[in-house]
Amino acid sequence: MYHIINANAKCRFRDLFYLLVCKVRLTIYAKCTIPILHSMLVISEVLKIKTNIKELRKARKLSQEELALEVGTTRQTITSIEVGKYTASLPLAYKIAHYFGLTIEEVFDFSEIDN
Amino acid sequence: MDAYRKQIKIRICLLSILDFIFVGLLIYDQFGADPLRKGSTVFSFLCGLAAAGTLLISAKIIQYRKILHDEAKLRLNYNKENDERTKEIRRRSGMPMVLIFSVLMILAGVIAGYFNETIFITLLAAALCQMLISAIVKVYYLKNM
Repeated sequence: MYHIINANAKCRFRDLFYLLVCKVRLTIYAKCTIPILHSMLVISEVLKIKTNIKELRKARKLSQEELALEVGTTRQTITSIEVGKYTASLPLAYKIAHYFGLTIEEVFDFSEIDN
Repeated sequence: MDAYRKQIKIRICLLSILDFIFVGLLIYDQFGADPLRKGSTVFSFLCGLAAAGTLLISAKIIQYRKILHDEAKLRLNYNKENDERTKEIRRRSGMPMVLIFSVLMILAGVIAGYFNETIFITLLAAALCQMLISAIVKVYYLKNM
């Protein structure tokens, strides 16, 4: 009888130990892998340049589609630039600024980089 | 835009050649193949691939032909293909190399499959898996970039 109780207690202890190990492992995986995956996938958060394309566009009563067609890109790209999800390349920034008849600094806000 | 128009015409020609090859394989499957070959997994897979490929390629050819006759659509398509964000997303999802490796793996699997079916299934699964991962990454960037 004593042996059975002892064996049961041992089993319970072993199960608890395994559970604890699994929990620790999961925590370690979550703490290590999620940031790695995040850093692998997330787009560079360093450069999130604000723009006033939306205001300029609205002042000229232009749709995103029309602006995209003029500067040789897609509507989705214009949306992403306006929202700040995507930073335009230098040629595209130049094209947009040139289209509005302004300089790049007047269209894109580089104050965060300066700071 | 003329260079792009020429490029689309070349694409139509290449796709038509591929389409003819697939149709030829399907005709061979229907009328020429012996029952023993028809029963093999690899040949069945090839026929399925040819049938699906024929449909997809035909749809693409029709789309290209429509684009060729419409200047606005041609420009839109040109912008879409040369859009820097789209290119960046494709690059980040490893697109040209993943596609090339997947096609090579499937080809190797088909060749190896005539000797050992397990290799064929393994290579096919690996190719599909890497294409799936690439697609997931692409969808992620399309939403977040």
